[in-house]
Amino acid sequence: MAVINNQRKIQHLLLRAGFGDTPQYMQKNSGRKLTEITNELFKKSKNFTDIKLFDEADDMFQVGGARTKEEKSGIFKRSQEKLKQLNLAWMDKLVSDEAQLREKMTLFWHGHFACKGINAFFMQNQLNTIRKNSLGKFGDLLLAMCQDPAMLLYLNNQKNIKGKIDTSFAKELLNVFTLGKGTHTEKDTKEVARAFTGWGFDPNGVYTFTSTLHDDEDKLFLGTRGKFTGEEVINLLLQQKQTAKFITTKIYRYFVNENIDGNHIYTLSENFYKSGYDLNALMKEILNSKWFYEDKNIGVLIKSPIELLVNMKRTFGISFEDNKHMIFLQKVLGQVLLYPSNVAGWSSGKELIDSSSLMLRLRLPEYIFNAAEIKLFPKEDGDVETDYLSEKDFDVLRPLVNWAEFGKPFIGQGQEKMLEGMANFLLQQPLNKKQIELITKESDTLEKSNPVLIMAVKITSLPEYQLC
Amino acid sequence: MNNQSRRSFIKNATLATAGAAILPEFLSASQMQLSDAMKAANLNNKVLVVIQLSGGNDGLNCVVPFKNDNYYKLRPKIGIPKDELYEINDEVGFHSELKVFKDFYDQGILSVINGVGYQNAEKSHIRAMEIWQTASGTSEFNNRSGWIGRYLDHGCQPTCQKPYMAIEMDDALNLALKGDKVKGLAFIDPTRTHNNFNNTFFKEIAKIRDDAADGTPLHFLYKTLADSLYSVNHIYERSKVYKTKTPYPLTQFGVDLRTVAELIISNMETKVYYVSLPGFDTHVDQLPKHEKILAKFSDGMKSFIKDLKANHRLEDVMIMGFSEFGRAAKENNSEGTDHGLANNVFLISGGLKKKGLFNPMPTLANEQLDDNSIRAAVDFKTIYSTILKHWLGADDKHILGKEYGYLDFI
Repeated sequence: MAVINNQRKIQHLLLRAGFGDTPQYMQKNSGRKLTEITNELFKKSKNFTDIKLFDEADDMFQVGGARTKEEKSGIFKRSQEKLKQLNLAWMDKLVSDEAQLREKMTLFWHGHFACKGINAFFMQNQLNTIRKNSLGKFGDLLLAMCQDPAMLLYLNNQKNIKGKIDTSFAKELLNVFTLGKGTHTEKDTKEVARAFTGWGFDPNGVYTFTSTLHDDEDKLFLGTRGKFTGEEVINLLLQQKQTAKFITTKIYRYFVNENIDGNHIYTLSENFYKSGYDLNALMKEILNSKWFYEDKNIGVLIKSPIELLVNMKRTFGISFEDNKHMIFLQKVLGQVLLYPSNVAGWSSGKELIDSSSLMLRLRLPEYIFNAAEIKLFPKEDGDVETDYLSEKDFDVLRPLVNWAEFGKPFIGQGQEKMLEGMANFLLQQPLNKKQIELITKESDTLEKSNPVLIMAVKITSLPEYQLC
Repeated sequence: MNNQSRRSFIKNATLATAGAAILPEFLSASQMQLSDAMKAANLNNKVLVVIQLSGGNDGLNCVVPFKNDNYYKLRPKIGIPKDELYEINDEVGFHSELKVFKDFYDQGILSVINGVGYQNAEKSHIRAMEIWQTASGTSEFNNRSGWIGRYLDHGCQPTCQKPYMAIEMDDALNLALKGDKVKGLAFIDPTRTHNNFNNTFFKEIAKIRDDAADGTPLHFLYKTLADSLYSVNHIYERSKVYKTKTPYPLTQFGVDLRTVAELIISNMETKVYYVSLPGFDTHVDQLPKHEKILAKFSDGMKSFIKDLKANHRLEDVMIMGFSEFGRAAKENNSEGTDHGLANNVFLISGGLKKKGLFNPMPTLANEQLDDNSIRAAVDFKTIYSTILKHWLGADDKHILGKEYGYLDFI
């Protein structure tokens, strides 16, 4: 039992701070000390690599670029194709990159700094910027995002100029990126917008500051008066303890539990603030804490669609014949990388679950492992620009899974042991007696050509598999 | 590449099944059950059918002000000439593919509300649709609950606790039908959903996890599973009660409406049905594209209304057709239109108090346009509040979070 407990804790750590691991890894490491595994996790995330698919922006975004109907539609098609490639490249990286914690943080920040755009080069650069800063100082990440071309474009800051402000950018900066809603006035938002006038970018995706468009008059923000530049506003925001609390709470909900513990949040955010917003230190404090491994925090988060897919691919070593099946799965499950629902990011937790989505999630193992015919189609949102995400030219998925490899740690000791081992590996909520009996019975009545597959499908079809 | 979408796929699938519905012995059995169901009908059987025209329907080319010079000035290439329209009065005519709407107009079962929108309107599809589905303000971001979902939460308790009380004809549920506590049910084919979901394994597992603590995510998942199984089964049983004799077009939209009609006529308890028709995003070469999609829209509506009428249910059904936004009043350089602001909303029902053109057409005078688009004259939330209060008998203030007043179409 002691070994199982330790294994469950290691799995907890790897599922939350990454996307889980293979049965082989767990077989080898389940007896090791948790602190060792945690240190290793951070060490592996020290280094990282960029995604480099595109070297420059499409000429559409250059001055005097394409203007005719045909040119425009050609460029749209190309951009869509590139965004698909970028999506898939990142998907692969989430699954197989050694720096699991860093990739998980990158996914978290991609939801926090929610942004989308048709310019794949800009989106690629933004992702790389996020990854680079995802475990560094939050202030650096925040400044980088405020100067990021894809973000400035998405939030319309090119139209935010001296004398004619546009508050889209300022609103997100205050409501979503730093302080949260209800912490400031509309006047504050307008003053902040003035401070960011003149922040823009050139067609090559380089941040530019145009002083002639910048409003350098006095501003009054959160009770302080000054000629504030954008950088100074960011510093003022970081001086607010509310920012540390807001970010800590969001990270806690994402990595620990949707129900927050006020004492934990208080201590964490005080330390986060004192450390100068050191994200690495914050994550270390969380993942090394005793309470992180308490029973009430294990197996209680509903996996997001991306977590579900990446986790499945990683633990089962699934590869698809046609990688575009991954786009389809993201779309039907309701979370497409590079396409957050709105500036507030993606839905999470119980919001993700209704009859239809639960049904699809429970049927997913049949679709992926048993080539069950997929009769469903992604929702069409009516937008000609994103129609391509709803395309489907297949009825079954044809993934490759090395079942012999996956099954090795579990076979050879009889069906009962196999079920116990596999369930302990795949589920963070222990099964009850009746469930064990049912799965044993169901697996028994079926043909035994591939018992590992049969049992894996049953276990992953349980609602418990939706939790981590 | 042979790309399919749900819309193109259906044709083959339905041709095969359409005939099966008309077995004579089946009909007589269902008719008997139907008359029982009819007897049970009472004043509480009001139903709302929402039709979402996704992509931004060009309402200005649906209901055309042919006497208005501004219209032709704004649309020299895609403005529709008078002789191609179905005139409803001296100034206004319907698009040639909307002949059936002219019939609805003549029968007094149609009301067109002009210039519907909201303050600081959004021009992005997803964002604008979110605003319509959640009934929230432009600066509010609500990923959680929609107006129909909140109606399930608060409006029609205690009978609204089951997902099947609001049904969307789709594989996935949209935000409009998600409440904080109760969420609607999305499906396309009751039989297929039943076969998918109702396998023994799911039924068994739903029963045996009896040790999950109340309020935990695990408990929530199992409760959702049990509710879903119950709803799917219930709909499947009800869907067998009545099979229509009215022919429907074999488009996905037509098939969706047929399923809705059959459930309504079977006296299913469902209060809200939600059907979408995408394909209205006409930036380029609008005329032929718009014509095609409007044909799909009106062909489906024609059968649907005929069916409801023949079964004496049109008095109990309110149909609301909307888009996330209208299109710009001024055409673009690609013989199409870009995203605009306000738009018309179609209401079709045998229970309309105010029929025809509900309010004046937009003048399209320059000073009344905003960035070449029609400004909102009616807040869409007043349509919601009217339907919630006067059609569904619900507490609109609670559901919409605010008092928006009521329109007198009901």
